[in-house]
Amino acid sequence: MCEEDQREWIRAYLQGRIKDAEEKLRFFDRLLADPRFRQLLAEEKALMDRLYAEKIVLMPRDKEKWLRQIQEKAGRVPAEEEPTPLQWLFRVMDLAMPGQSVSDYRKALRRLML
Amino acid sequence: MNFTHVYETYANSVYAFLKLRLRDPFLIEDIFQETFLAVYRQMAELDDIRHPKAWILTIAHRKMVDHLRKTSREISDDPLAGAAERSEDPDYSDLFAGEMLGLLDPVSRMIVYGIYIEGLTCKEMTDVLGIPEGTVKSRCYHARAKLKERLGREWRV
Repeated sequence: MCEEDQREWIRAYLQGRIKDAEEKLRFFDRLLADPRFRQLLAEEKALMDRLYAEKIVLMPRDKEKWLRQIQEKAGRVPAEEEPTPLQWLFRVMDLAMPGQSVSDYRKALRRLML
Repeated sequence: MNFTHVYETYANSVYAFLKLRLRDPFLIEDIFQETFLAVYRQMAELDDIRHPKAWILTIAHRKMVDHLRKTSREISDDPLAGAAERSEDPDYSDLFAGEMLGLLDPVSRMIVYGIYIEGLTCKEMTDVLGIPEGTVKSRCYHARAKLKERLGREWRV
């Protein structure tokens, strides 16, 4: 596992995205056995704490006002009840190529259309 | 999941993401509303989306790029081209008190924000920004080195 992947694994742990108990155990085993991994954990934690402390949020009054405006605009143009042909295509491709992202489908489609 | 719940959950993320790249508050409001209007119109799809936050930020990024392409300012057709050299970057003093992300070029800012604050993976940031995963990782590496150099004086990183 390269360093960037190790850092991603660490961020997943710090951000609570690791749910699987086995994976958590593997994470702790690695932490106990590898001093460099512990150093990476310390770096990621420090940077994350600093960035979280300075996170910006939308002012509550703007948040409410903007929601009302979106709902008014949305009321004039109803939500699509039926999927578009492209959405259907993505669903079919999801069945054919599970695990791929929408952008992968788009790339595949682009290649097919060339 | 209804639209109001989706809005409550992701409004701050979309706003902060747009504010990383845009400085005009009216433009931010317009693109913010366009983003959620698009989400509203595609609500039927949302249950099938694996990573709703990445999906919504992808919509926000595309709306932003589309708008900036039309108006031909602040960003080029290639979101990476000349990003570091651009001089029209917003003043981040109101956004990040420590000017942390202000040290970085616009694309690296969005990558660091997405990965460290929004909890997205490099692969998800690839989808959001439409750039290769290797580029995301490389940008993240260099951005972290830059931040580490700055933070090293204040924090033991």
